[in-house]
Amino acid sequence: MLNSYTTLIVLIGVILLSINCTIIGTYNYLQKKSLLADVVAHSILPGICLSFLLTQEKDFLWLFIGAFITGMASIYTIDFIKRASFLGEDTILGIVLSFFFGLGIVLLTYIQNQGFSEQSGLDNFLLGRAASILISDVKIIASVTLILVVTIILLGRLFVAIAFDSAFLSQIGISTKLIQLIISTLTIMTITVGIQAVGIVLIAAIMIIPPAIGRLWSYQVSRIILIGLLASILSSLIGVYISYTFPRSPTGPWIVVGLVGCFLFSLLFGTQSSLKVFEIRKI
Amino acid sequence: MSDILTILIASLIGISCSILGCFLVLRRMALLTDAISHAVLPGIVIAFLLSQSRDTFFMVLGAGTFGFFTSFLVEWLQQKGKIQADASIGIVFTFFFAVGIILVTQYTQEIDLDQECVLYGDLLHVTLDVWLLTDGTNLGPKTLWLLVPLLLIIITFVVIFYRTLQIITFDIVFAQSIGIPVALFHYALTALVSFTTVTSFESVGAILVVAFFIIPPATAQLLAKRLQHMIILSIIFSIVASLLGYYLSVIFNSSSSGMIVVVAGLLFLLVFLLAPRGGYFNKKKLSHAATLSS
Amino acid sequence: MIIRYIIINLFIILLLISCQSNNETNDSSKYTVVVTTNIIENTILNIVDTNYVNVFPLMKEGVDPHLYKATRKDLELLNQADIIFYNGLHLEGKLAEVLDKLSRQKKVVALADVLDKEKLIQVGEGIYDPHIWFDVVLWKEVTQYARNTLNENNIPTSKKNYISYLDQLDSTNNWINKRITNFPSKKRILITSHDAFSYLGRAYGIEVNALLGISTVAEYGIKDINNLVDYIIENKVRSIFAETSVSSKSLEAIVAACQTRGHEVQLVSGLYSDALGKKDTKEGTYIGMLESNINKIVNSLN
Repeated sequence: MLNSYTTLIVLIGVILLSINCTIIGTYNYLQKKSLLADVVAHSILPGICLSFLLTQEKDFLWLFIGAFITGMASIYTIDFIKRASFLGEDTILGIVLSFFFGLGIVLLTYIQNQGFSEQSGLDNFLLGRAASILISDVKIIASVTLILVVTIILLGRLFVAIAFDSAFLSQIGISTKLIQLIISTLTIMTITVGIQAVGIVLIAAIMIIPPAIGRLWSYQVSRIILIGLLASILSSLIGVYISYTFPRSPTGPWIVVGLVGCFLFSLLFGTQSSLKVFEIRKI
Repeated sequence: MSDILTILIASLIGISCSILGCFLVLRRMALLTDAISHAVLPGIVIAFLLSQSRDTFFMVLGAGTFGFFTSFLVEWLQQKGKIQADASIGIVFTFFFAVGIILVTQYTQEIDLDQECVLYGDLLHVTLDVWLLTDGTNLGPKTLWLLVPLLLIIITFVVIFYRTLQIITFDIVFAQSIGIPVALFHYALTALVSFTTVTSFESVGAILVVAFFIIPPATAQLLAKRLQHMIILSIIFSIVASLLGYYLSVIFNSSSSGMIVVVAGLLFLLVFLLAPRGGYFNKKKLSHAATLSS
Repeated sequence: MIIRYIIINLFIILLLISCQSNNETNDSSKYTVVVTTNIIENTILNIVDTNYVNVFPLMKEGVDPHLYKATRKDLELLNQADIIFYNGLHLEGKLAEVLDKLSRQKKVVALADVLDKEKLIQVGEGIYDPHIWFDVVLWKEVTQYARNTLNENNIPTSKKNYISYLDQLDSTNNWINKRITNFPSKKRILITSHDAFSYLGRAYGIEVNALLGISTVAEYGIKDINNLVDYIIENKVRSIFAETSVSSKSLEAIVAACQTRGHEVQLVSGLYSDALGKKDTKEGTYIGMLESNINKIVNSLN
């Protein structure tokens, strides 16, 4: 299986992506912001359209910058509304998600009706397919992994602290805003890079499901991440294997199915699960 | 004529969604609509495979069933599995969506489903898609025949059980203690939400329907003090958004459902900034006053 | 009470307004022909008398018919149209159903209807490949059908243009046949990302292979990519082709995979599939588009 170049690249790509998404997903999960991944993923569309309108070409770098800006805008809009109103977090996420996506659709149809012949395939930026990850994608994903791992090693403790006790952080003189900015930046980087490689749904899934799996086994952050990583890497292997063996089997969706399999297993057997079938006694 | 029809359809969707949306927003279930709108894909594919037709009726049935199933699973994971609310929504909808894609890819020869007709939807198409009898009588857009009864059911449901719904929404523990079948009402509500979602997304698209559910009620919540007022205000906001959004979309020659959502969002922003009670600028004064009095 | 009052009132108002009749009239003295794709537009322009007829396409340049969305301007056009032409065979997706309904009030013509089902390529039960314009002989039949329908509906056509256009179609067909037969049949393999060239393959003896079927929701897996790579290497294919309207990423992955197995394959972009090129360029016409495609294919496979 591994002697096929495509398979190898896809496997490395999705495993690195699993690492990125699981790690950053866990910190978002701890802040009960799992669905942020979904929001950011949809908020990217207007950014892509705007940068196309300004530059009139489908240059990856410009599209990426546009995507990054509206992604960031969506996170800040959420925070802004949250600080100043009594609306529920889920309501705010819903408002921001649908507003940005609506804006994206408006811009997309506007561009379509202007008759730019270059425009077609603009929304392909959002529809990456795991089976056609390129070596260039893998390089970008790997550099995100590198940045992510270094940041986590340096600042991991602060990321945990912000989820549980942000008041303490500000007491000891650390700016929670700065920490939050770093987490947001990492989240958007992970998502934007991931989306054009594997698509919205897979990205959302590997940001949301592995932390939930980890949480079913442990409440310690480092263990949640480790178990989440184990599950997402295992699912990547399963997904790639199925897609490698059977024709017409899309890689990404099968990875999601694998993840849900791991999740169900953890729901039944996880030590922290409220539905576990066996009680493992501590001796 | 077609202008009025389009606005009428958009407003009908807006009214149905915002009535139900008020309860969703107040019960912190807003993102359930997002989950439902993604999770219906396998329902549509299965309905298509079984019925071999693209008929709206089968689509709504298949999708509606899956939508209801989704809300059931989300609720189950939360209640029984003690999974965080946001995570359980995320798990269920990504899974169903993935299953949908796998099905489409496997049966790709038999299915000619476009991403467009599943996920994006189009108000103008719906307006044109009229129901013709065999003798050629034009009964108006097909969707209208689904939307009007649905809206009547929703209004009847809410009017009859208004008190009960109010108690469940604001004090679920009290509701349980006086013997209201909370679970039953929960599923009735989610069933209505599922069917409204799928009936609407042919017109406005799966992702934008979320906006119709959430944005007008949230805007209304910033202004209203009572549930009744919140429902009325959200209806008004959704109608204003439909009207303005539609005309702007004509001016800019772009997607009308997208523009309606943008207008709804801008209305929200306006209210958020200027509302007398919960508004951003007044809130600052208020919280200042609050700290003084405490 | 207030809720019900407001709702009922709004209902009544909206219903009342919606019952008003439409008295928009088309005051332009010219006939209006509305078509869906710009391939059809170009064909119709070549046969009508443009002094008396305006032709409007719904889909602008570069718009994939699968991804087209109607705007209100389009609705106005459809309302004003004296006759509407569309491709049919589900190329236009949902729009086709709408047009079909419109046919009770207006003359709406699905061009592919004129063709014998046996001449079409079947891809599934009752589903046919809609990309008929890649077989010039079929498209000529379509052109004749369009002209007859225009005549039947008293829309001015230009006999002179029509006859010379049919001649042009014939000579284009001959030209393509010549170009293709002039190079070895072993090399005639056309690999694209989207399945749009089956008719071209059948009509001119080119083997066609694509990564994706006709549905745009479906994805491909690793196995599909590996199979295609095996096929390319086995048949020593030198070039693969990306359409203008589809992302070329999947093909880039294939090129990379071939390279690591020691087979150089070139990725040629800019093959026209569902839409023509820019207006006022050679590729903006049906015949020019065909020539450009064939030249690209022949030059890069040789």
